[in-house]
Amino acid sequence: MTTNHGPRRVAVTGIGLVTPMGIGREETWRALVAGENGIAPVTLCDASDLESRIAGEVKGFDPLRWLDRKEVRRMDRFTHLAIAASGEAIEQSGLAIEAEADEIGCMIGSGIGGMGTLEEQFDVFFHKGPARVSPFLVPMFIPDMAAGQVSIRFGARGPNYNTVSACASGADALGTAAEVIRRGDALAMLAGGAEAAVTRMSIAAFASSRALSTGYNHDPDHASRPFDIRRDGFVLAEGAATLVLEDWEHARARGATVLAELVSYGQSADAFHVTQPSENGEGAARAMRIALRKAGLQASDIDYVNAHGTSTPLNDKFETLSIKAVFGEGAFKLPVSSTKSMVGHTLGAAGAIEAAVTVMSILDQRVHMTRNVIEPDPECDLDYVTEGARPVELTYAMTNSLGFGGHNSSLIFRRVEE
Amino acid sequence: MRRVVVTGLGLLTPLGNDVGATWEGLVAGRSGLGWISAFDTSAYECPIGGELKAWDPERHVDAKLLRRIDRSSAIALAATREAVGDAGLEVAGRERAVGVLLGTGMGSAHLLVEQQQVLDEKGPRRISPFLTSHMLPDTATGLVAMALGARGPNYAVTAACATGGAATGEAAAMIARGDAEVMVTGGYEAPLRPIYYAGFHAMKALATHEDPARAVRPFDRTRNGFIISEGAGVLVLESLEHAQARGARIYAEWKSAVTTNDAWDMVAAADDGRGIAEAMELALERARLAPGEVDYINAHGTGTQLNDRVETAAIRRVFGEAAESLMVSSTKSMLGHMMGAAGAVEAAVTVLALHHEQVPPTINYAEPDPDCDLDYVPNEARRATLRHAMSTSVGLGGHNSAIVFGRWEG
Repeated sequence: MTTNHGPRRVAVTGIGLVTPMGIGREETWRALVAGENGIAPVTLCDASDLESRIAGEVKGFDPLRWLDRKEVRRMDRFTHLAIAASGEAIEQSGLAIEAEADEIGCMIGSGIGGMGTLEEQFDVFFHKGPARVSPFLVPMFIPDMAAGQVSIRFGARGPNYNTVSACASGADALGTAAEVIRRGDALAMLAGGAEAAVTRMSIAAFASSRALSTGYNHDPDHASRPFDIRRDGFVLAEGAATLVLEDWEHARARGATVLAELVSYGQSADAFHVTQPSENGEGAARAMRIALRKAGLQASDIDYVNAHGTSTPLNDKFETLSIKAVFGEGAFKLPVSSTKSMVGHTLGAAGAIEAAVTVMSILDQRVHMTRNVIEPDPECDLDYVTEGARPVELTYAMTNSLGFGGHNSSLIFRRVEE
Repeated sequence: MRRVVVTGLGLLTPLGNDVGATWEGLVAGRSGLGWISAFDTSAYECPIGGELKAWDPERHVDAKLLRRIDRSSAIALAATREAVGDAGLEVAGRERAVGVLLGTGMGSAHLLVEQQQVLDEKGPRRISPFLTSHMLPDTATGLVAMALGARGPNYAVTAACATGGAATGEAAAMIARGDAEVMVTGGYEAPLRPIYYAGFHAMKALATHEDPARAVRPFDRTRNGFIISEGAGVLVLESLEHAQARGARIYAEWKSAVTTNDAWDMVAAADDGRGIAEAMELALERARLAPGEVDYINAHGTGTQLNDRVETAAIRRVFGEAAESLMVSSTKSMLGHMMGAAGAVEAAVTVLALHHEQVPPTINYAEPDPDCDLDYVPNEARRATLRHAMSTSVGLGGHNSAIVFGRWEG
């Protein structure tokens, strides 16, 4: 199937993950396969008076492992996480960035940016006056800074920006980066997502919009329960994922191990409602269909869907409808699982983390479970892999991301046999 | 690769609330800057900004929605509506072929700041339920998609002050590869808010002058910084085929767009201008143009000592001998720095220069700087038939963008 003609193909040659399940891709994957829980009481801020007091935090993360003290102070936590994930991905890929710096770009999606920095500086502004506000407020807060700092850190001088589409940001960063490679604008892209929004303001705001789980503060083990009848909202989480995406021929020529192929990217807008999915999940279904069409695939070619599966009453119902709309009868034979059942919802990083997990699933020929489906919702009647991790022969796997504002993104990865 | 053309423009700037008024101000060489009136500036010695004048968001946005959204989203809604109207585009009937890709540096984050005060003073239960859906940098792209009924590709791009160029370039690429027929693209920003202003002020990069109209002096020896402005620039990009089939007026042809990163420093541009030089070089290469075929550059030209010197050197390096006959102007001399909107506003201005065969000037140019020795079209607009024109942007975080448009002979 390799060809020197036509559009370029995109190889995945490195994965980096920093998640509530663990620091590093192997640790994250091990915990996901074991069906462990990443949700716990909030420690990163005082949550005592908040309606939701649990979150998926990255535990034991010390940015000084990757950065010096001055650098740590001048970057927001979402950038710290992005640098850690990117370092791991680059190392696995064996990519020598310096040699081709101009041909290697960076696209790290973030839904919010440096929310913690903004909150901290607001405090300074309000209580100590404008003259005390940090000159680094703007450069630490703006959401493109993970992409900027990762490129500075690793010397990648090619195409560089941040894509934002709320909870689909990470997926759109990967999809856009793949298109950048396909059109020949770069040989490799460090692409992914990063978010660190476990802050008072963020929890208060998502709780106020009734998006967060508030009924399981006493029982964080069972709070994130996508597709279960007693789900009551998502659990906020933080994390980052970076994939090294690379021009197929370039990866082959340098003898890199190709982990998977990113074969397609579909994107659509609901143009319907700011927070609610469109009728019958039409927008999400259309993103999946576009991705299938661009890859020249039938729905029946897909062996696994890593769902958006947030654990909100609306999302899981409409996402199920959209999968049924695309896969028809085949939907009932398709393993579908939600990484968020263990990690929680990392917002702008989620699409990238779940893409990385989808590639890990292909490599391991095994899909992780959806945790906490204790009593299935009759409106959510697919095979959510509720019994534990399952060996599955995976050739093509899809991952879906749906964001506030009606953004829908779908990525398809293919197994590469050595 | 399909050809992409510009068929509609929308501008909301300190010089005017639409394309016509802005263009008129630009070619008249007027400054849109003044003393900031939007918030209490008593803590600052020289609070100059570029505010929209007599702009009433209620004329553009439904009152109920307006209460929930950030000023930046209202600005984006108004400018996109003008652009789509200007393009004569009927979205109904082609919803899935029309996408929205807007850029912003900070987006609606100001809502967050407002609500932080509520959190501090009244507690978490008083936070607005609409905050999360309206505070994100992609909020406006979603709102615009809903307002237009545009159901094609939809997201936001952020690359600090190079955002507008990055967004416009990515939108053009979507059309070129066939993922959309029409993209409503550009940038918007409403950064004149106390806490952001304090942050910029602390960076010590803001210009000072007793006369606000003369505060921004790009390429002039006495330049001493930039001024923050608000507004939006929107372009309707369209596949040539689609534009011709519906008989649309074509302003210019999109030729190429490039983004690069200095990989150098989060705040300062690389001293040798390598990132922006490389963006310009690649933009020429992808447009298959020799340097001598570009007649005008709408420069980033912020008015800081470093930027203007580095940018001049980069232009010299890329254009070589051709730099002698090249017109380079900074419309920031009149508009100030519109942050995430700047690249898109300047792309729209570049398109207008091609269309109207007139180059807007760099105003406030009085004392030449030996390090800045190009033809900056000082103080007065100039008539010129341009073959190709380029717009460049440089952003915090080392982002650079260059975008090239060609004259439409049609």
